Amino acid sequence: MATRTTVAEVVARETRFGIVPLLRSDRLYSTVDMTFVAGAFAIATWCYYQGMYLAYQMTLLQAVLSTLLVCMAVVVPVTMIGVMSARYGIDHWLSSRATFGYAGTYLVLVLIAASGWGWSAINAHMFGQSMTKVLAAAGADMSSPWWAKVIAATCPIMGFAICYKGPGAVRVSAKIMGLALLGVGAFILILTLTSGYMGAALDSPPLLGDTSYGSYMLGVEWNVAFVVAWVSMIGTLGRLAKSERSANWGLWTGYGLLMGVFIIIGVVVTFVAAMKGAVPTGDPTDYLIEVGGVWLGSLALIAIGVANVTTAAVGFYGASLSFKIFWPSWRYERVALAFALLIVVLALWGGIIDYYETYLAIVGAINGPVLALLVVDYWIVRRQRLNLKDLFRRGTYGYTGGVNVAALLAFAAGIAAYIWVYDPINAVPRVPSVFNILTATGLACIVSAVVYLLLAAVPAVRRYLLRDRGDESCSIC
Amino acid sequence: MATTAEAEREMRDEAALEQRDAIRAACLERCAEMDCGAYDFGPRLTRAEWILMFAIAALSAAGIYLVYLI
Repeated sequence: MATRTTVAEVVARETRFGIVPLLRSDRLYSTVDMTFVAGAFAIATWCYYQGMYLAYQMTLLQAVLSTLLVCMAVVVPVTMIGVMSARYGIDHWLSSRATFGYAGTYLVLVLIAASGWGWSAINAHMFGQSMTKVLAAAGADMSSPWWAKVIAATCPIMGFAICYKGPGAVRVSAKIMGLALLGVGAFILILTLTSGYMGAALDSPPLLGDTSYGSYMLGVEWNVAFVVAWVSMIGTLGRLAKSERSANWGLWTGYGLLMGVFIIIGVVVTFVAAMKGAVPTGDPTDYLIEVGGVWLGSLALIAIGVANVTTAAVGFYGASLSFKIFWPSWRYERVALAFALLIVVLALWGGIIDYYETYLAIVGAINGPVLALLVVDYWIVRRQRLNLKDLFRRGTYGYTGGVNVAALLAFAAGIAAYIWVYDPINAVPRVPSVFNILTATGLACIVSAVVYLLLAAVPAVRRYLLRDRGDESCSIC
Repeated sequence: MATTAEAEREMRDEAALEQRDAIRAACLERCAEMDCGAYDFGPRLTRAEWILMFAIAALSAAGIYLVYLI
């Protein structure tokens, strides 16, 4: 009886703060909730930064349309992972044990999480920049560059304070901030559309002046990498969805549609600012206070800043849960605090924003193949069937020393293909003939998926991958 | 003092291991519930929803190349 009580207590806590699968009765998020939580995570000032980068590569109309189209196309594999997580009530980093093996998942998770820390640092950095300018506009002396860094460091701390209370608090804050963000987005759009510079912005070439197809496709690549960047956070949200439909359409709307709209706002703001003669910085504060006045502009900026806090909260919640697969008895609060402190250090350093293009390339090179492999493995190779128990014990997903060699080979092939067509350090295509058709991230996804499918077609490898089918001890579902 | 600290560390480790076992047991218990065949996974996405989503994705992907011509 004592053991039963312990397990019951553990279940109660670990469903919300750990890796224990959620049954249907435990689920929290409706479609609307999922939309707001996914949207609140994806929408932050980094959307404006992304918008600025696109404005350098494309015309305004090209950037608006291609951003929406990329988001609508690339979000589908993201939602497919979310649907899988919702079906079983588990984080996709658990099901990825079937794809990569026990040890293989640790490797992939660390790589993805490391890239996620960069996003959080960028998020905190932009929070610091925005709030510093608001305070400066209010008359405070913010001349020391340390002000921005110190304020940036408060963003992860506040994010931790929200995520500390769990997914319910995250949902509430995401809804409040989501509504605020929608208002801010509409406000910014009205400011820009009525600025009198929209005509000039629509007639303007890309801000770099290069109207070539290669320049356009470089922007498309950055958008593809931007959408696949959320791989790390699909399962922790998807498992909380009340149904597959909630997970699918919530993620589709939040990660796809809403995020696309906010990148587009970033593009429009950048073009209008450039037409007014300002130097585009990707920081909405540079534009909003000028156009909206101190009070109105500051109000909008505070809402944007607080949205960054919500982003940090959702991010820490997801990352903490994912990392608990390393050691399930780690306390959620401590893992979340460790992440928050890490981002505080990165925010105080403040250097990651200087390498945005390189960072985006690394994200695309790693996240793209991982996303492709997770989708292909579950939806095609395994035909949507997993041995759930073996996800939690070293059973048939042990493979070779804990690593699915076939998946790792396919992962490496995807990264190699990425580096073959694109120089991630200098953000320059190496093989334009391929890059301009598939983009680097797209090619990496395709190569990983095809290599894995080809390997899975070999009978011996197929038996190796589908060992769970031969295990009579428990059913697969 | 070192002995006391070591003993405390040992107790903490043991507690963590017990906690880990309890979590593992909870996970397996939940999996068993889903494994038995009677568990209701809930309604799946309908074929129409999948078709709609993939159609939007395919048209969007094709549109990316056409947008440059604008």
